Amino acid sequence: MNLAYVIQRVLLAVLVVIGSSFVVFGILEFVPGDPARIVLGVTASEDAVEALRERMGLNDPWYDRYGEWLWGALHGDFGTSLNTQQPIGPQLVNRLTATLQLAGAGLFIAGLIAFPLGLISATRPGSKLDLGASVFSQIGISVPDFWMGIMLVILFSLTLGWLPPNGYTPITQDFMDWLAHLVLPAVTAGLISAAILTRFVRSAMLEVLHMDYVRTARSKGVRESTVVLRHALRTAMISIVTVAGLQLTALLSAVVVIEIVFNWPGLGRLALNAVLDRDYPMLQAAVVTMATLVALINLIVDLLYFVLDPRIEHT
Amino acid sequence: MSGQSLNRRTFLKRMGATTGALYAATTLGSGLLVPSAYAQTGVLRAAWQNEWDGFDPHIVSTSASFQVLNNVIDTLTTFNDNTQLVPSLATSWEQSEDGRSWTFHLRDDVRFSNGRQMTAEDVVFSLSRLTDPEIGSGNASNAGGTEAEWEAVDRFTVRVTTPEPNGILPRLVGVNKATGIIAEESLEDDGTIQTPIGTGPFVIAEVDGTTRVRLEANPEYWEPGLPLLEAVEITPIPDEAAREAALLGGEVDWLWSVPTQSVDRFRSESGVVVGTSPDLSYNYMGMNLNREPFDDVRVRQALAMSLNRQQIVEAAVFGFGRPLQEPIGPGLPEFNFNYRPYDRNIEQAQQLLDDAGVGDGFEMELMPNQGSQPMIRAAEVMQQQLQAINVNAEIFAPEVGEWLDRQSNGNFDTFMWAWVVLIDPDQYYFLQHHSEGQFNFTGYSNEEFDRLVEQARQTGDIERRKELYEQANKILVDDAPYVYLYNPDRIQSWADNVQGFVVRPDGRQNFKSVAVR
Repeated sequence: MNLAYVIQRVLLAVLVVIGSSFVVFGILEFVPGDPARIVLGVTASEDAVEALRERMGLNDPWYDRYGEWLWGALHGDFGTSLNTQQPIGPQLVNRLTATLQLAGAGLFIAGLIAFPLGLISATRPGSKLDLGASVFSQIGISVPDFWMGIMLVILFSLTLGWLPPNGYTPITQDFMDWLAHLVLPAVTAGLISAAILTRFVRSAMLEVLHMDYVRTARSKGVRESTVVLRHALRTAMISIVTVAGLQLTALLSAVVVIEIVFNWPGLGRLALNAVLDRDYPMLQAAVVTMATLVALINLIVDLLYFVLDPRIEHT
Repeated sequence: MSGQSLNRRTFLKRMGATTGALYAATTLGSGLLVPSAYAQTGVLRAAWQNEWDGFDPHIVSTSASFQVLNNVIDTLTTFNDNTQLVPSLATSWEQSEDGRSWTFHLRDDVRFSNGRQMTAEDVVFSLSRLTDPEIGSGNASNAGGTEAEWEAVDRFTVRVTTPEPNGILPRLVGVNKATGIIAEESLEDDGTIQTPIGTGPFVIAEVDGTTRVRLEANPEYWEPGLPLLEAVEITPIPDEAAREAALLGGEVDWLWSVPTQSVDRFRSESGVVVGTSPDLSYNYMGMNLNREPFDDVRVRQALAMSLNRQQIVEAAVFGFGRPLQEPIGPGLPEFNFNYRPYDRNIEQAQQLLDDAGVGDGFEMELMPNQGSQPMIRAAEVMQQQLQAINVNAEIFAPEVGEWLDRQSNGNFDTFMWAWVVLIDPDQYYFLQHHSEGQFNFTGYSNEEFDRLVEQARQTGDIERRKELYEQANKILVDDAPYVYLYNPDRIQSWADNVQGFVVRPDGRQNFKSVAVR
């Protein structure tokens, strides 16, 4: 593995994260509305608003505030929430944990559906199963995730009564309850991702299965399952991992909506609330955390190429 | 003091009656609902509408926070389910001859949840912290303002002195839980309060950030036999659809609110109860009196007279409300004056516009905010109705932050919203319409009106106040800086195994008498 390349990728990721924080900060500067007034509400006096502006440092120039924020963030201090007056760090960790559970479970379900389905339709192109998989993908891609979530709630919770409609129980408190609450939002997230992933697994496999070395393997009399899983899938994995990485980042943004539908106390709901409350430091922390996640996933995908295909060389 | 209808003796009598009624209610309740008088059972899972912003009563501003505190701390006085003032931690109170001081006599049988007895010193601590300018609480005026002096007269008597006579102080200290009495032990080392120690029916037992709170019965609570529940689990569910699903799917037992469009569906569901009550708030349109043509009273009256408010109620809140031509509706029956000069009359409205020289009509902007869908729907109906007098109204609905900026900078033709959190008529008249009122954004100024509302806030005599407000109300409605539109209903819902919850006009969520079967 080329060390210089790794360092270059890591630096780029850091730059992306800092850049995104700057963009968010800039956007918030231009949004109309005084955060102090919004925090205090419509019944606050002019004096109280001014006092809070001073306390929040809103009267300082923007570059001072941004510099101060960045310096703190680099030291792991995201400041204090304007809304709750509590340190942001611990709140962020709780919400991030909840989001990662949901996104992780969603990706797991997506993989569980997409790989078998994609492989089967790639090995039997034009079959009824292939057609079925295409229909599933097409529906999955076109259906909005919030609608899918609501339909699942109506079917599995309100009609059949099998699962709770929404809510969250920490895994440390009650595992079964945690799982019961996780199923519907994770399936919602997973189904949408699975739809896209299935198509990519299929097309990547189809391409590889027509390559010469696969034909050679077959002609040697290697078992079909070995050909598919050992020889072809390995090669196809490179493009599949790229798409899976992209899917995970797409999943993170889908999760924002899914969290609202299922009242899942994650980063998405936190960010939405922060927008509505004009909780600038909180919003900034939430967005930067999201950006960090995305940069991190991209970095991991980049590095995975080396593992999957040792021939890849970057200079 | 003389001339005050609610003197100490009356209160002691009422106090006796209240305690008696409570005793009857709880013994009856305990017989039916709980095995023994002091064994609390059952957990209520309650869905709040929004996340809270902490639990320091002197800092928080959201109703999500205040309604948690409502079950945790008590005030000197409070309001019963019919919005009438009743004793709570104070048994009686009286105003000094010069009107500048109030003396409150406290109960001597109240303990904080940590077991320590509550005394006058705790009242002084709590209300001095609330009125401390350093704290900057938006509710300081409820304890007499930042210049009020709270002092302990003896172990169970406190006195407050204000620079000006303040006749409504006993009412103001009962308005919300910012004036709640908390133990000094609530303070953390850095001077903040994370979970206040109060004397209320429940204590804050567990807090998970802004996503979950668990309240547990306070074993030291002073009202005998209460609370009935062992605990209340509170979760905010901001999304309306998710909140409905949570109740229908059995994830929670009780909802903070139900959107008007869902009421019919809820009523048709078995196992779910819907409760309503007229709210204390009102929805209105304020006008910019510094802009033409709204500076002419005839134009404002014409606008008020051109509306069919029943249609507005149907569109805005699907009929769950009632037309209103003055600020106070039936939620506060003592001060509901029933003054209605603005039934729809297009001819007369047109005549008023002709007299004002704008008979050919004009263009104007209606400014609801993006966060209030009912007000946007109301604006759409008004837009149509105003065409009858050739007024072309355009709807501009900015997001709430920009809306507030425009409102406070006077950058509007009209603004539309609801005035909420009210229980004293002073809150309906003074702040928005007195020339010096903190929320007078219309630029309205009327000397006679100012004099009346100033007088009404200085006297503690409720009959005298009614007279003064009735006169002020007539002047205000005639001058029409606001066009009053409607008084909405408060709608809540719970599972049918939840008993004893009362939907109140003031929106207080009280769980002390609630039981889960």
